[in-house]
Amino acid sequence: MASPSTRKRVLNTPPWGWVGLFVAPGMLLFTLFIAAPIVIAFALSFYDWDLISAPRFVGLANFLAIPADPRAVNSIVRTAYLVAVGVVPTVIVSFLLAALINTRFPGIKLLRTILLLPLVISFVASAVLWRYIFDPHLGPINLLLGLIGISGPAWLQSTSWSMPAVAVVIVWLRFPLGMLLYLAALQGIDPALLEAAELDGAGTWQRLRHVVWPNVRPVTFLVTIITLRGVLFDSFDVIQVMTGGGPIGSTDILIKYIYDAAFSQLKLGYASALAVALLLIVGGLALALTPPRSAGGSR
Amino acid sequence: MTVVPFWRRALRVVLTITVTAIVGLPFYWLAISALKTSVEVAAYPPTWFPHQIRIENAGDAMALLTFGALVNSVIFSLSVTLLQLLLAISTGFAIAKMTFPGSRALLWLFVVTLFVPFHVLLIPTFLIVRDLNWIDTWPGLVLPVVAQLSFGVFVFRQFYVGFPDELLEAARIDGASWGQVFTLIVLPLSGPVIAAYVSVTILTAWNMYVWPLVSTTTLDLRVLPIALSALVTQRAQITPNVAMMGVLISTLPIIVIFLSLQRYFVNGLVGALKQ
Repeated sequence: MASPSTRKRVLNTPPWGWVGLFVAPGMLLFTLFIAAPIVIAFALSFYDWDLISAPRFVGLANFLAIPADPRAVNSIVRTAYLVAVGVVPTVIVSFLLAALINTRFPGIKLLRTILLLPLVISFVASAVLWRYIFDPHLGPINLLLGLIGISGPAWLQSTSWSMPAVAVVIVWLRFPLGMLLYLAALQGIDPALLEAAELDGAGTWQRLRHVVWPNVRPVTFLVTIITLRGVLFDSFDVIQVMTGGGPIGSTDILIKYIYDAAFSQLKLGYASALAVALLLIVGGLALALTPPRSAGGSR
Repeated sequence: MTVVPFWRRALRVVLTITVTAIVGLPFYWLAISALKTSVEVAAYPPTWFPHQIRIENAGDAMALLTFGALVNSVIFSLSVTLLQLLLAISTGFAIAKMTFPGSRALLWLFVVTLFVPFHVLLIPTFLIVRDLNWIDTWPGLVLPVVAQLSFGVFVFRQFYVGFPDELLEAARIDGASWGQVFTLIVLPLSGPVIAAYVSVTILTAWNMYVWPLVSTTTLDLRVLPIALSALVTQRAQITPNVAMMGVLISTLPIIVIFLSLQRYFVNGLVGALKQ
């Protein structure tokens, strides 16, 4: 007589045919288009190749060339700048808006839906739209600034204002997701905790700062990671359409340079080395930011 | 429960409406600009309400975007979503509920690759598709995107791990095959998670830009985001009202889908990311 746990094992262990049917088609595609490219990306970074002549093994030369390449250095600086003016504001705006809309009044549903809309519009469509909104003569931003007596700059034509303008678009595109995550976390906070703080005489700001914020820390980590990923990679679409990396390289972030190096200059080995370097930087950042996890965190 | 003074409640309502107006302003600007005449849209100072509505912008914008690009976007999004759903749900289910050697390694593989952005794989994927002679073909456009299974497998695995074992075992004891268990018991109970996954995936596919840009060159396979970017990057003489109408037309279908699936979308996104 088999014990219950053995019976369960036998019941849950299908013949290989069924496993293959469920797993093989996905694994086939995954191996071909995800796993193999990861291996190739690393391998390519040790080669010099222009797609036409035979690849030439160059060892670490591609990586060693990065610090001596002014465009690479500029694009790393620009990427760090965009992270600073894109990620931090997104996290703060997400949190503050979630706290603001965590309430009920007639019409709040409609307002929430409008606040979520930037989640839906594509990066390309929003870049086309915002190019026009930032237009110094035809757009509403300088029109509104003019109402309060400020003469707005030619945003996208200015080397100092183009990156902040891109950051505005990124925050606008990215905050709804963070806001949703924060909202879910806020609704999980025990109301008794807030009431106790209020009875102790804490004002709105103090409660936000000392009770709510510490309670949503895990979400802050999550929002930071998601936004960081989005800013480093997905902003390619926005920058490609909105500024093309200009003016004078002022929005030339690393992912834009990688694309140009590979598909315009056909320096595939060097572009792969840049991509690998970027991946290592992101991996390092993610590890550095990861809070220590308790064991058995697979569920 | 302490009573919140009226003025504080009022302040919060006013603040919420103001912030929403700021966030929504680009959409309002999009809508009015798309309806203005070419003269009014270029007038200084810009107007907040169109004096004259020009609905013909829609025809002009469609002529530039092309009807073919719209159809391609629909085919692309639907095929990516359906194929990816099929593969992700079966793989996720197998990892969660089937006992077989290597299942933990598979899970680990998908979780790790969850953090590898597609942009980094762009060059090698392009090379593989080129070697398959799939540049400018539907398989070359669709399959590498379908292969981005990590997120879906993870979502479905998380969902099925919490699925009661007794239900599956009872069916197995009664002699149902794994295929029958999956199609007759598991799938009918997976509605919400499928809806959540489909809404997120269809949105991603509809908005996808980089891979179509790299893997296609012909107009025959052009999807909307590519056609849209061409409006600003290549033809400077297109007036803003027509360009805005182009943005509006390419965004409206997905807004409609979003509004109808909003509940699933929000729950799915938050649920999947919070695991």
